[in-house]
Amino acid sequence: MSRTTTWLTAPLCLYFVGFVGIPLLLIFFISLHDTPAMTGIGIKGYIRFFSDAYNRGVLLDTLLLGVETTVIDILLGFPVAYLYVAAPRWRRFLMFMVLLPLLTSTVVRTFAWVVILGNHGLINTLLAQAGLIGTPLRLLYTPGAVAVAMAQIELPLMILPLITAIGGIDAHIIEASHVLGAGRWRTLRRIVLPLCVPGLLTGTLLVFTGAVSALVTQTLVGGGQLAFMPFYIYQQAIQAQDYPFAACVAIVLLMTILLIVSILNALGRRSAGYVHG
Amino acid sequence: MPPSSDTGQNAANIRLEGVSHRFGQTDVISDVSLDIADGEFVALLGPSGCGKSTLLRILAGLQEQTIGRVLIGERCVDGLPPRTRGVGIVFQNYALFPHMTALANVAYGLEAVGISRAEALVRARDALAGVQMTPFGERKPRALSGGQQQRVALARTLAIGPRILLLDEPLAALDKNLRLDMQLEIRRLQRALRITTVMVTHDQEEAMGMADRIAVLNAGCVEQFDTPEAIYDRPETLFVANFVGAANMLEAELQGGPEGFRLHLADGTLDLAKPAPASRPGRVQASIRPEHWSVAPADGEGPTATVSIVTPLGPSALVDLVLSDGRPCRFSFPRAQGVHLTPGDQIRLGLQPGAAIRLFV
Amino acid sequence: MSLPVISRRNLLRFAGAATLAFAAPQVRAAGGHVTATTFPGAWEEAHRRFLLPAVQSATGMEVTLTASQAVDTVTKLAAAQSNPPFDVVMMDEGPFLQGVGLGLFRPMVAGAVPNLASLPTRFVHPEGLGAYVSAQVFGIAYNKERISTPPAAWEDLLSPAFKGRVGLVGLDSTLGTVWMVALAKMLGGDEDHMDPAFDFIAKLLPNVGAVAANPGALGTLFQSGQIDISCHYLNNVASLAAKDVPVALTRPASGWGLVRSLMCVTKNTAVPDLASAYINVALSEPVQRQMAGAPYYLAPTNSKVAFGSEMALIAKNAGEIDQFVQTDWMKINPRRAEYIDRFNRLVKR
Repeated sequence: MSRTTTWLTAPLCLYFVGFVGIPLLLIFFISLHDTPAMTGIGIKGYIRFFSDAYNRGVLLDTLLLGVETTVIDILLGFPVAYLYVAAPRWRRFLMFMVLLPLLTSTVVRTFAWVVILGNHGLINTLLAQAGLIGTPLRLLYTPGAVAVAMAQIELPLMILPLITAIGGIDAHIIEASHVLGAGRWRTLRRIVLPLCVPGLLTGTLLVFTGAVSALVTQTLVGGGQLAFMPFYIYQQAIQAQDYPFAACVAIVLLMTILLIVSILNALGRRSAGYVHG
Repeated sequence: MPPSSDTGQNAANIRLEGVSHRFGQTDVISDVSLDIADGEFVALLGPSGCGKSTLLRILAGLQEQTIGRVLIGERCVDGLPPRTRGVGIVFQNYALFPHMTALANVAYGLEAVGISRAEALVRARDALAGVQMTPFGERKPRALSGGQQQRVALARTLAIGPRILLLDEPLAALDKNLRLDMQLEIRRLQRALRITTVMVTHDQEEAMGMADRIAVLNAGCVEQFDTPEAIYDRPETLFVANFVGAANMLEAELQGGPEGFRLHLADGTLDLAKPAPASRPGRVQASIRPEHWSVAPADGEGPTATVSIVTPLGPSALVDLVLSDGRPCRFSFPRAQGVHLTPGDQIRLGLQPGAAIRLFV
Repeated sequence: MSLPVISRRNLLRFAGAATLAFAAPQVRAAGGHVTATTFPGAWEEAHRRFLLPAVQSATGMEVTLTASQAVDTVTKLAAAQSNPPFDVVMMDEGPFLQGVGLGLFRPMVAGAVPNLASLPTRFVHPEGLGAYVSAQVFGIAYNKERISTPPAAWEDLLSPAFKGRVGLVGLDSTLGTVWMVALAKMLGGDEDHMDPAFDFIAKLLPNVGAVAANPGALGTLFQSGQIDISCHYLNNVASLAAKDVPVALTRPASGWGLVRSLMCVTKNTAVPDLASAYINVALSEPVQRQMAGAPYYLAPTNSKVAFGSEMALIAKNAGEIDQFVQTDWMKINPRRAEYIDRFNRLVKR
């Protein structure tokens, strides 16, 4: 790297050190205090977090939400990305539809889900009118509802890398598969899917990290009876005024996400190796 | 051993009947009819954009022609997907599956047609052996050289026992030395398997060196479909004369008389026994290859020329001349003839005995 | 290696200094500009509609109004004490007491707030660190279409008829906290003895249809039919009713509950007199009367303002609402984290 280009990255580096690095260190430092009044240095906060099944449950529920959201987005996103690449004339329309969630505010999107999933919402009304249910199904304020709402919001982040990955597959490779006698399904399973793995991992990374940290959606669609890490942090810091413990929860979440991101990145490097060699 | 022993018996002839292909408002292929015999090796030769690749894709079933019929083994295959046509294709970039080993690439097509995995691997190993790639079976494509990838691609295509082998610019991505080796290799395999083969290329030497017959394409039309010798010696159209081999294109005046035909060119005349393909007296374009010329005695009737550059090319020498009317012209001769020319020399040109110069209106 | 012990106050101060190092010095218009906070939602709407024009005409000063929850405001002030981002802030009782503890507020400028004289004494902080500008009354909110007999007491929520129809609001909100205190007092406990309230919630759980993350979400739940009964504020219920949501508020046998909101002048503001003048306008009769009217129904604290329309059904004036069930935030604040935690675990599914 030349001197000039090194210097060009200086502002960004400074920005990161100043507004990400130092605050993170600060949070880590705060987390090492034993009492809400910030007296006593130690790791009591972490011990308190991990020794309590409630807290571990909150962490697991949060990670589970990330996994569910990611799985839903892969299942929904892959066909759309495939269609986008395969049907050029639908591209403008599809891209618009894909980006639409990004163009609406989180709060509006989230309240739309409240309207759809409520006891007297769209789904329950339809089911009741069809005579399928007597009393409304409890849909809102369930972990499933949060995962579905999250999936809708995060979907573009899965579809866009998938479009890049599928679009990057040499058309001749697909044709070669067809000429060698493979049908569409075999081609999809044996050729397209494996070659999409890098895009799939990028999308998974974006969707998972987005889902586990989406405070607003988790709170509004999840209601007060489901506990997820981001709101737990907010509650501990702002409402309970227990900064050290809030910092502990934040560091635990951060470390867990970092661990998962590192694993995905390592997988991504391996898959990118065989795809782009 | 050959990748698949029963391939030869299944080889099939190909017939294209009035095939045209339109893309939007453009005719990519116009009214192409070709008859390719069982076991024949045909090259589709032409400049880029002449429609040769489209024609190959139509044959493969990767594209559907707008008009016309395609018959393989006397059966119309229009509307049939690639896999039921019995064709195999090797793409220019080989299109190997990057996430699979060479062996898995070759076994892929066998598994796709329902052969068990174990049996597919056995046959794939045989196919790799057929292209001398046995030691590389466990490598991924990125760990193979261009030539090795090419062999794997060939083995993959031949393993499924196609009746027709289609090659899309198979050697374009290789460097020159490797290209000659692969030419021989492909030719050897094709002969051994007696598989009907259609190869697309823009390289005339490749076409000349490999094909039984060459179809020269220009702007979607077949200009000439003949043996390499005929294409070179008796080009039927001005385009073919220009495109295949080097030729001097000179405007001249053809005069016909009872004693024979005479061609007036610059300050001289040349006697022609039988002008072809154009034979009507009048203005013509004469296609004269450099090796058609000879140095004539100073008192001959041929045109005079001044030597400007002499380029020795191993066994032969290439001479750049300027005719008396100022037009440039090229002349080549075997250096073994002992002729010595230096720039500035004035010479009189004549024709080699039997030189088949071609006239076009 | 020994780490220096840093108090939270010092740390926040450090964080504030770090922020300031990057921030451009704030330029204020000379003689007539204050920066104020209000609560998001109806409060902001009402303040922009009534308070700001009144301030403008009474004092001629300009106001920059920012919507911010009280707890967030406290955090922002604590982080930048030497150069506070706001001159005058809106506070709930709980966060106000925290702010007092952190030394975030200064007394209102003597003589600049003559309207203080019209407030019941308990509605002004003894040291003048804040003045109660409004009160919110809470009671039993219910869907009057689906519940024909108005509930009469909090115990009615336990009725099997309300299975899956009761709404709760988290203890991290002011409403959730004051309601729990009201339940505890009804059942013989108090701010320090909350067990009866938690036992009540445990019994109530089978009936709980949803736990709202904040009071605003309760409105959405009523609207969408997710819940039919819960505790709620009068002003929120009134504004729902104004939107044709069939919700009404009724008095529980144990009495109406009360939550009060204050305005405070920040410690190091450059314009304490202007900030005090702003509070004076907020306490003035006309502004308080307007805020008490439809559709906001924010109960006035100025005794001279008679309660009209909906408010009249509940009390005659500020003096009367002072008798409602109130919460001692001095006692609640130290144990708030514990109660929040206990509530979270109780309701988690």
